[in-house]
Amino acid sequence: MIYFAVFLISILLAVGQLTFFSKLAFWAFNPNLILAGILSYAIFGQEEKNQWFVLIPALILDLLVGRPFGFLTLALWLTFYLIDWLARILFRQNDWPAIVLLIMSGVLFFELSLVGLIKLAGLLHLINKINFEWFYFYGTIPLNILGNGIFCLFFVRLLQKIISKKLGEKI
Amino acid sequence: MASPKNVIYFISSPFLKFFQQTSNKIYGTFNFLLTIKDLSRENYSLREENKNLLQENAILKEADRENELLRERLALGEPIARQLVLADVVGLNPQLGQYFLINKGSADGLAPDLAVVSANNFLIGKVAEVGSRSAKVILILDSNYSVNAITQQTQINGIIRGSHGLVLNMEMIPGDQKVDSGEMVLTSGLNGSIPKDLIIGRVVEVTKKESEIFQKATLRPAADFKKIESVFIILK
Repeated sequence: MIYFAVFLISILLAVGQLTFFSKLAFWAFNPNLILAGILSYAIFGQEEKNQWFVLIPALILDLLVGRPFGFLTLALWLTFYLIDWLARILFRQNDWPAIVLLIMSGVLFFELSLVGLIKLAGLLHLINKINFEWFYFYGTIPLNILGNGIFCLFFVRLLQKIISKKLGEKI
Repeated sequence: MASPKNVIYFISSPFLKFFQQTSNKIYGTFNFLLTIKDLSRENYSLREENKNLLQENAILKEADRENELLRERLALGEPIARQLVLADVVGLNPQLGQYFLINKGSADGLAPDLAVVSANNFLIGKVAEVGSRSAKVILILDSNYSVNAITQQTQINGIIRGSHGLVLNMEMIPGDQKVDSGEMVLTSGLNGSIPKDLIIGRVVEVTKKESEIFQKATLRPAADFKKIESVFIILK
């Protein structure tokens, strides 16, 4: 049942990203709800994390719009594991400065890993070479960190409320 | 790989259609409220443009009539009509490239590299990837999309390239040629898959550096990509 819920939520997030939230794209900022959801799960989920909660939404978005297929999933998966590790090892206290830093690191790592994977695939002739202008690094990425960071903070707050309600019920 | 993509698209398509229609309505309302103060000035400039276009239309109709007459006299036959497929835009993905998701695919005759246009013959982009019931269209605003173009009046060739979904640049314009600001730019037909005379945009600014052989022009795209709800795919 939980997996069906994750599947349905992932479909809704992906569809929302492609329709409603695509209208919020301005200058070079691109809203990415799936990234925000996965980052917030990495930062604020319980100790034992279910990797299917990451793979299902990532694969759905990748199957819908990923080009080339697989790179979005790989970048999201790597980002999730990095941020999960940082959250457990380096930023145990989980206060707001730590959360903000984790979010910024997560978005930055995701963008750079996507660029790296695409460049590698181009070098190996797996796909046509895709060029990135300098503007992508000094314009697009900072805007994405800001914009997707705000979405992520919203998801983190939502997860906080859900977890505190669950803990409240248990007591 | 095609089957999982088709399955996911099939499951998502009702949501995509509903969300896209709702978001278009909401966006339309907000856009109207935000631009309401400019309506009077826009109305005036549109009326002036309409007067010029009426005059231009009359001249063009006369030229069209003359063209038809000459074709008849020279036994050139009718110009080949284009075969078009209408598709709805069901999603826009600006992540790592500017793409539309449309609700037609290989089952409707689509293939990669086909030109995609709006109702006014404005070039939108080309088909990048095709599923059985859906396709991805790479937009002309994407940094990795390029098309050969020609200015309408001065007939100067160049290459149009998108810039991060923000503007269009016309590059490789010979430095000794003069491109006028406000001039229309069309496809030249030199790309095999993109027919000629599709409208790309209008020149806004021309940049020329003394040390460079080529000059560059910035274009305002003819199509408003945020408002596009349907597109036509030109079949070969």
